[in-house]
Amino acid sequence: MIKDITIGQFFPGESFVHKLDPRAKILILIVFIVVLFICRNFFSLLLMLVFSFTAVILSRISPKMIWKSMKAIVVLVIFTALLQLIYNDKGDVWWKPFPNGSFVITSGGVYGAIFLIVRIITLILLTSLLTYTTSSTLLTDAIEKLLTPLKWLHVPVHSLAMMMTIALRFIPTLLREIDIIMSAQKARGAKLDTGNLGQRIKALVSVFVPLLVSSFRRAAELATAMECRCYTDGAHRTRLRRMRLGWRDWLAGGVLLLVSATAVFTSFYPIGSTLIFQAVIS
Amino acid sequence: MPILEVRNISFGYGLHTPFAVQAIDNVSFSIEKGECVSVIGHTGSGKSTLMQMLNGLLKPDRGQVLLNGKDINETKKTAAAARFRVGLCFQYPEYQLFGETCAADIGFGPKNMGLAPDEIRARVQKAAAIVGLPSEKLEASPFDLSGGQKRRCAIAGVIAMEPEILILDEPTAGLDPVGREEILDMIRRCRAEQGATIMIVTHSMEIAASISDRILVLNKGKLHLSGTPQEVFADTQKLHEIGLDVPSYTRILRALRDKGFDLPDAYTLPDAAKLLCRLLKEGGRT
Amino acid sequence: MNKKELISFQNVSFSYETDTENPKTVLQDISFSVMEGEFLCILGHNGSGKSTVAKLSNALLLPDQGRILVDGVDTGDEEQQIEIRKKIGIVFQNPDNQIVASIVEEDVAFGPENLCLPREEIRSRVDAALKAVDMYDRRFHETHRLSGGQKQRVSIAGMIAMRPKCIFFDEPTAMLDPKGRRSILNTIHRLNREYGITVVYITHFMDEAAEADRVMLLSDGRILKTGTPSEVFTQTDLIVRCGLELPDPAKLSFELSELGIRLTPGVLTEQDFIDAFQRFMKESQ
Repeated sequence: MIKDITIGQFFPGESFVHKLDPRAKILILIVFIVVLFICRNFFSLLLMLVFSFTAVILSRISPKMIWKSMKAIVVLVIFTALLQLIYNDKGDVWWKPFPNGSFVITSGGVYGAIFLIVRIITLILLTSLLTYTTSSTLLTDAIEKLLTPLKWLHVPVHSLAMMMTIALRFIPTLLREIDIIMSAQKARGAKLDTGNLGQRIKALVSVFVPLLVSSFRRAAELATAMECRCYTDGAHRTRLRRMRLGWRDWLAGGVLLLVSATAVFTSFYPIGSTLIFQAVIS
Repeated sequence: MPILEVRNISFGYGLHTPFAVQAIDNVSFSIEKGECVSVIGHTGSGKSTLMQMLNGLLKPDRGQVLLNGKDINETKKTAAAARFRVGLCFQYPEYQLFGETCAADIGFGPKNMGLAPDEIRARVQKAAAIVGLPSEKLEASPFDLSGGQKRRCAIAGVIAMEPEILILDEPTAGLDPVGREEILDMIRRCRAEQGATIMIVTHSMEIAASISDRILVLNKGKLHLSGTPQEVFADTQKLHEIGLDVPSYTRILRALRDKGFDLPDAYTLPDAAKLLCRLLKEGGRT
Repeated sequence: MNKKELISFQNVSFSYETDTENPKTVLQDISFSVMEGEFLCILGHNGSGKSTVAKLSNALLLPDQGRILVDGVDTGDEEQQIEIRKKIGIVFQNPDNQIVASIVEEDVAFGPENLCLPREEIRSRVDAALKAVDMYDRRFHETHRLSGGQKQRVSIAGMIAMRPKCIFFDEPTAMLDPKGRRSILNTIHRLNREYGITVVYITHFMDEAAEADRVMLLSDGRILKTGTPSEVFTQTDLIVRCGLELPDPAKLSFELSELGIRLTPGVLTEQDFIDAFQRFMKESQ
């Protein structure tokens, strides 16, 4: 149900992760994702998983909420893992369901599938943590700051950031509105949940038109309200929140660099125990 | 047999999550044919959830909704059919208008029922007449109507399905006094001329008192009070418990009674005026 | 009461340009003033032009004829528009459509940020504004999870943080339930009394107008009557003609007069009615 969507939600708090500079958080996430895709063995992957787990614990976000964000992508994870299981034919043959067919389950496929699942979980953990611990305003402020160099190319960075703030603010409002309009039209027999595909698509007109009308009305009213509060497009504004890199950011960045370096190094020059991990998946 | 009977229904949102809400908790009531019942409660008391269970949009976690004695959730088909038999008009229904013309919008429900074009046209005319939408407006865009007209056009869209029960969720919200009176007159007309069975969700004790045979008071998903206006407004204590009050006319009469005047209760303006008038005449005689 | 004139409408007319050549006249030659520190209530039915008055006052709209002075400055002076908007704020009907940010305190900060105030100043203004509307405890909450009444408080805080001299409230309770209505109305009265903010309260609920210093009756773009609530409310036929509704006790007194019982005029509250009725009984015995 639409109401169950948690992605992009923010849980206010005072934890270590909450107090990180949003710019640092974004940069850390980018570096983390890149390294995650360089990782080649379980040892390096495990290092990254430990890093994101530590971050989750430090954020004091309830594990239930983290699980909820996971649930949303469970289907995707299972699907990609299945593909890996079916199409990867490296390693020993562990199971051959059809004696005459070419379809086999191999050790490579099993490890590949597990590897993928762990990688996606690690990725989602840290990504959802970013939006869980950073309000949308701060997030857009940070993106605006990070994109400042583009101002030299006459990209209206500030207006884009404002657009993003407003878009994020209105997502829950519009989701609720869609929910209401759909229910109301269903109450008049719109075949949104009962008809065949063609009928459903046709019935969507009865949802989109009112949604569009109300969005324009909202936009017009919001524009007026913003004008009343002295907003002028592109003008300089001061900010309530100060963004300043502090010891936390350097610490988090330092730890990430250390973890990343180890992970990348062991991916290419496996040592000791990592050799075992390396061997089983390739 | 009551036209609608609700037996011990419960409904929760987001069960097994930290945001779990028990929206409706073991509620039972029934409605007789031709009755007008008001549902009163604060925002978040579960009114909207309850309404959506009555026409099969939501399926209760527990309990049954019986329409003419048959469970509407028996099969998917009966649940879908219940949407036409129990007409539900949402809050601010004008925000759901989408047709190119008012006629097309009002005819949306009948069209979904699979009726013939002639029948649809006839129903649109009839529904427009009931809500008092001038027939020359039928070919106009619904977006060109005034606020009050938009509201009535949207309500006509539900009436045109000719449901056995009409449910209106806060039909007067956001309207000025003139618009509100038009809607209330329409409801009175529906009852008088069509013998319609109607449920109204409202915040106003005065509206509930003046229009309904019975009142249901919901609080936090539970049925807090129910009965005739007389019965419900007799239990002032229980209304105050949840931050509701009796109609202002009742308050005035009771205050006068406390000052020693011999006055029974009244809940509506004409009744209160009549009682005071009679008291004056008697007082004049003795 | 302070008698200084804050806003003055001088023979103002306004019409909306519709697509055709017959513009829709909204206001016709109206003149009135808003005094510093007062609580003025503008009463009118939907389409009476009452919302337009608010938008004209802070230069969102400009009059076709006549002029509007805010603290002596003409709203037509483009260079002064920001200054005027700093002085005159508006809170609108739908709280959902005037909240810009996802977090309460960040939304309240939006106005002060636009004014380019230093960070410490924004901080103290935001905190003070949130305390004034009793939302300080919820400053980190997400705006979309608040109730309608709470959202409206955030909108009001957003205005207070700009430290305006006067706030127009354009039907701020129209979308709220009775509980939310009462609490918002109380908050607005407190802002007027304790913070000295001039309030222009626009509504069609007459019971909300009962506690105002002055009431102005607007119908079809004209001012029909201005005066204290009891002066205006006693004009029952005028009010009914405007498509407005008397408060319940006044309606009861009106209904009795139709039945030939004339209580003392000026009944507004339930207590008024009870007193008037007792007096009438005593006199008739």
